[in-house]
Amino acid sequence: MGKNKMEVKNLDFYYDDFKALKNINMPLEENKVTALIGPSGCGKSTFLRTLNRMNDLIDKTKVEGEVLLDGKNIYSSEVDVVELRKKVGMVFQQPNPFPKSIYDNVAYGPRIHGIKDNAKLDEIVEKSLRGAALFDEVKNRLNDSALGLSGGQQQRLCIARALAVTPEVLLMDEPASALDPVATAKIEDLIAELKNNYTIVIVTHNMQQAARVSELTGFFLMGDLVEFDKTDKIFENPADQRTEDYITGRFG
Amino acid sequence: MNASRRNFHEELNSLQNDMLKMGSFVEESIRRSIEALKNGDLELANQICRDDDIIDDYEVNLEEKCTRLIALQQPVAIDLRKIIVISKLATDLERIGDHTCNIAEMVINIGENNLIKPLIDIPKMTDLVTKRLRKSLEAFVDMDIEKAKKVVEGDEEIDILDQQIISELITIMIDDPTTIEQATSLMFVSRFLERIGDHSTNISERTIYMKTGQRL
Repeated sequence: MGKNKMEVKNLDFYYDDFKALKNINMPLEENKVTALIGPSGCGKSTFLRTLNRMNDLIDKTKVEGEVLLDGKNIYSSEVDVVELRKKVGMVFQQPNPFPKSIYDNVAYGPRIHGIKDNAKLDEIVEKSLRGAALFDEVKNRLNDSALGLSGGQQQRLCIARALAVTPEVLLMDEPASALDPVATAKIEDLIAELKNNYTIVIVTHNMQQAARVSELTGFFLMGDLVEFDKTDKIFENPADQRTEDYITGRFG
Repeated sequence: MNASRRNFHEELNSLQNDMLKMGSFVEESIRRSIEALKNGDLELANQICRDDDIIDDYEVNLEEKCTRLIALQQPVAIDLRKIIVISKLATDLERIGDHTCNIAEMVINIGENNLIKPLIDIPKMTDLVTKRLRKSLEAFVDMDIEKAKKVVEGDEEIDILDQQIISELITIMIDDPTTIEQATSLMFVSRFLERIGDHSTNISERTIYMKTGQRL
């Protein structure tokens, strides 16, 4: 086992009275892709959002337990949430570029974090777009509106935007579910490339995708982490009957 | 469970049924080959070799169904292991079919000559071998690990019988060199039965893998 970039310990999560996550314990290995699978409503997206405190934005939610990033609890009072989300970036299901130019989309984060030097911004934008395997497709139209890009390009732009603030962990919530197979394959290739530099956690309903892109897989069911193991183990010979029933389509 | 997944599992069951039909046909073929030996029935021996085409068709048909299910359904875990194992079992059964044809060829070699000795151990071995094949397929269908393990353990009994038959035939050949040709054919029969037994062991080992994901 490699080093754990993050570690979730005895995590409970509540929406008001509803306990959405029950005593979750899960390490997230550095430079690995961890996939989270499970039926809708099982808690996997909720879990993903606990990793950069996105749930803080929802009223009447409560967190118990710890989420460690490099050994420090991200829920402790001295943590700056903006700094946390810089380190733990997120990419959503629907590509959500800002109604701005391609360039400004990527430069948005670094500008907020105080970078004003244009040469420096140019460098970050190019590096991020290259990191998201988009630069060659857009280099001649950086000042065009991001909304003119295809869905797959928009999603890679959102990944570039996340990379621009030099995160350490990338959370992806169904990043390819709105894309066609060609664009999906590009995102999957990109994930394989990105894991060399980032720790990636991906929520996906596409189990073949989980099998293709991840090294580790967690199966969630009704707020429980039923099974967490190496991806090949989960898909070849899962230990828990409920995991097997889910991945073979025997329930749901 | 949704309709298309239910459909998939029905197809998986039908795949298993096809494999069992092949198994019964092959089992019958073992019995008939020894029947032909006992009775010097050359017509039956020829028929067994012609029937090998039917067994080959079973195998091809099963393989194609396995390939199609993998391509269209992307099975995982137990479903995937089951399909892979059925595809391998089809090969084991096809090989058994080949061996029954090999036995039939020995029957044709012996021709209309009287047998040099009454057949005692070979029918006994045949009985054991067909029972083991049936048990190995039952263990597969019921996913019965204990039954599969018993089949694996029972292989030694067949090996002992094979050795016994061979040493008896050697004694006969030493006593009377004119028996060499037929005795050699009978030795081959014994060895083919022993090989058939090994395929039942394979089937059982694959069953254990299918159920547990572990190799024996």
